[in-house]
Amino acid sequence: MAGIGFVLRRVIKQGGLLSVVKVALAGTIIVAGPWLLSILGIFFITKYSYYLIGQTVAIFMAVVIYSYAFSLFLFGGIHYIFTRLVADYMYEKKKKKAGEALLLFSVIIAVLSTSLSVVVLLLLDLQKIIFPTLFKISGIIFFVSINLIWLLMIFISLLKKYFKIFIVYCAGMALAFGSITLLAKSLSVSGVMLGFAGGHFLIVVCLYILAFKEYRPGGFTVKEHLPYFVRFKFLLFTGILYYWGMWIDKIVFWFTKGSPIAESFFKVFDVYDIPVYIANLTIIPGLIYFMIINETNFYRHLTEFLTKFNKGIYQKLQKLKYKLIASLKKGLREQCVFQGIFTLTLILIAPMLVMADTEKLLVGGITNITVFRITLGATFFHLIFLTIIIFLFYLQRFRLAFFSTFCFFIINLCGSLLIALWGNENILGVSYLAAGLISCLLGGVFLFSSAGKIDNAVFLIASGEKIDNL
Amino acid sequence: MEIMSEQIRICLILEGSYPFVTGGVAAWVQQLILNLPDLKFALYTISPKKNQRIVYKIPANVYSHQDIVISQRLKSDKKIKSKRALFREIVKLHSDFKTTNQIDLKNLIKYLPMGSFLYTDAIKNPHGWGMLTKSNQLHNPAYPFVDYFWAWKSAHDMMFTILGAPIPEADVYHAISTGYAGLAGVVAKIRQNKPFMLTEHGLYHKEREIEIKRASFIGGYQRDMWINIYNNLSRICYYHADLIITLFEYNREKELELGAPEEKTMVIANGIDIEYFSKVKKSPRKGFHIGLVGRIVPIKDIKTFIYTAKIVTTSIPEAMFYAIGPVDEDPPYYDDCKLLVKSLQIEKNFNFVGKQDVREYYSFLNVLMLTSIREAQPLVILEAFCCGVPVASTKVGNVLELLDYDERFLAAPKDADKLAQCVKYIFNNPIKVSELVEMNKQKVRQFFDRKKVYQRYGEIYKKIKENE
Repeated sequence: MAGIGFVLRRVIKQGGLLSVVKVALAGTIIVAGPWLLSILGIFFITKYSYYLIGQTVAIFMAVVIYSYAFSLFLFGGIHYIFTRLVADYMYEKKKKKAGEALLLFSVIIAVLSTSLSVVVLLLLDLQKIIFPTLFKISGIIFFVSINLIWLLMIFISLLKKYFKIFIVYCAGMALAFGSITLLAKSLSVSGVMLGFAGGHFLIVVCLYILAFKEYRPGGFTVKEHLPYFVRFKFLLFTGILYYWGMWIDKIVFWFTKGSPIAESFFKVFDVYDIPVYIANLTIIPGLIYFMIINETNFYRHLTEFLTKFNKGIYQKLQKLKYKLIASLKKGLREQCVFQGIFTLTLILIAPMLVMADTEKLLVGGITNITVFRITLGATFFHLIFLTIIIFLFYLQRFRLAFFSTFCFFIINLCGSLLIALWGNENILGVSYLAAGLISCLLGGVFLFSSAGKIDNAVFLIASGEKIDNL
Repeated sequence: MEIMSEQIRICLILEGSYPFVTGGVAAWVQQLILNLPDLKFALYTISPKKNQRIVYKIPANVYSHQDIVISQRLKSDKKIKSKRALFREIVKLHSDFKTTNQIDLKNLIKYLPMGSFLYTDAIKNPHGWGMLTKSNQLHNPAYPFVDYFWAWKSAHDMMFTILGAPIPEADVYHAISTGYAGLAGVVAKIRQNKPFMLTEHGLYHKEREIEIKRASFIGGYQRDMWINIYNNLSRICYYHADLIITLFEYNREKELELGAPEEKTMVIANGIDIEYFSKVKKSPRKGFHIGLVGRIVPIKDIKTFIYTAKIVTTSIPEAMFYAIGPVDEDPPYYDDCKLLVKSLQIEKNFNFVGKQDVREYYSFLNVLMLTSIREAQPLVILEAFCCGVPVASTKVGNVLELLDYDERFLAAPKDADKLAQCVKYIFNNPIKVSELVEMNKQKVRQFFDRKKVYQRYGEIYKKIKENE
């Protein structure tokens, strides 16, 4: 949904440093709000609460990381369907329907994530933790909140109230860190978990208030929305495979090379987890650039093509098509250059980051420069791949996006298994890098071939046939 | 319905006619089937919409009926093995349209299995898309491509339906027109390797041309495109048909002009039930009565009949006009006609009597009038002749031959003044007219006996089957 991008673009056009700061903050929150929260949370706890909770920080970390991983691993596909559904309702100016969709998907996600987290946390036998039940309940609240935040993140891009959203995030973080400081001493790690979950829960509640204030649901309907899962099955599977592809190497390494967390079946693998986590943060500028510049430019050209389609003579249509393809090429090139500068700079200064002794900032810290550099490269291609599949979505080529993400997933799965079985620690992340690179190439071929056939696609859809048959 | 193995099975291929729509052709088909009880008939009908009401009682010797809705897209259940080869044939076909009359569909049908439909293949296949865009660039580069595409698609989708549609089993395929019915006949001939014959009552492509030129919603290049398509469909039929029958010489000449091989063509005039119409006894009524027997539809040009009535009644106030025929086929047109009668203030002299037993009217009519803008060989003229009713008509189809090119009774289409003069001539010259009436009665009884016509068709079916 390019809507918020256009709003932020208008803000940046006002000029001045304040506009740039506004856009940067809003963009960061929208593209990576929950990520930042988690990183800041872990940073805060490592720096200020570690002395209070000691070794039990590991179980807290594990719950946070697993919550993030599995919220996307399990429900990522649903997010894609929700995005499509809401985008359609917004296009049709059906605000009530959009509100209804948010309500329905929230209920689905809440029920599924609660059930799952109850089962998982029941299996944990936390004897060394004070107030284990409180820890478990907080863990459930945290997992459900994270899942709902992902959903709300999709929806808030419609709200255009980026300042309020920023305040909500600040309030959530303030509550989380404030209560962690207050509760860690008396409730130890259970207090930390409660405070962290409470902060996230506040964000969820506030975002729902903001969302439902503007998009009040007309009722609770199921029948209208659920057929989207069937109609856009390739979109659903694309979402699932994208997140599987994104997380599968981490999961493989956790369970083959990771260290177990006491009193749990969780495993973590700091040597890889932390570089990947930090590398993921490096694509935030690229994501903001995509949202504000790249996506909006492409959307403008696509809209121009579609609106002039009905009146144009064939040669005019061809010109518009080539203009659209040119905008795609330019967008991808600029995205590569923009993100490439960040990635390359970080690759070059990686030794300095390690020397900065990240261990004091993050548990474990970055211990292997090569792995960090590989993951920086991998996240670069990951971003480009994400750009490509979003463009494929705009062109309605869900099946091709599915094949690309299948490739992303399968390469990362096979590669990480090979590394886990036979590789050494210096090549961790190579499977992620290879998956990103090859999927980019495949997705790129699909994208430009689809753009070249966009006129055929329009006629095919108008003739009542599926675009996938093209 | 069981098929007796020794009986010849004829598949009649009909478009927009029997058994759903009443009219000259439909009545002819009904009689053909009834008069050839030794043969078995399958009906392969092509309809504009589904679930149409059957308005004829289907005879017992009809063993199957398959209806294809031309506007409905059928689902492909067979895959095309070589699309490249198929498109090569399609390209060749389009080139043949420009260069030769030998437009052979055999190879195209070979690559297109029954049950596969090409509705969107031109969009999906680079060869197809190339053809489409090239054609647009060549013929209509200045028009919006979207309009061109939809015009092309609406024209071609109907053909794609016919090309892939299932075909009833039969020994001889007999299309009662060219167009989509004729195309279905060609496909049947190629797929089943059975003889295909064609009977043209009117000339399908000419009739469509008139409709297209009259239609305000088809304009510019689209008009030419549709006309070309219908002409080409006729040419394909003529090339593939084993026998081409038409009702009168003029139409046969027109067929030859469009490429029909002369040796395959023949004329078999329509006939009427002489026995049935000979029973009509004249019972003249007071006044002067003019009737038009036909459906209340634009092609019959009922409005000219009404204008003629207005002109005639000014000089013959006792003249009574009757529009005898179903009024439900084109209700808006019927409403227009009623309004015209009212606005011309001839309600007392003009009656829409609906569908009636025409013999009752022939018994007292003084003139039978035909105002059609297009006809083949109108049976109503033969019926009127047989019942001793003089005829005044527009010069359409075989009317000129039937009326011996006698200008006293003929007028150009839409010429209400001339038609009124014809009526007045009949009114003012009863003796001269009665001599002609008697002569025409003898002519009809001798040359237009329906039984003989159908017997001839029976012989043709047998012969064409034997020569298979």
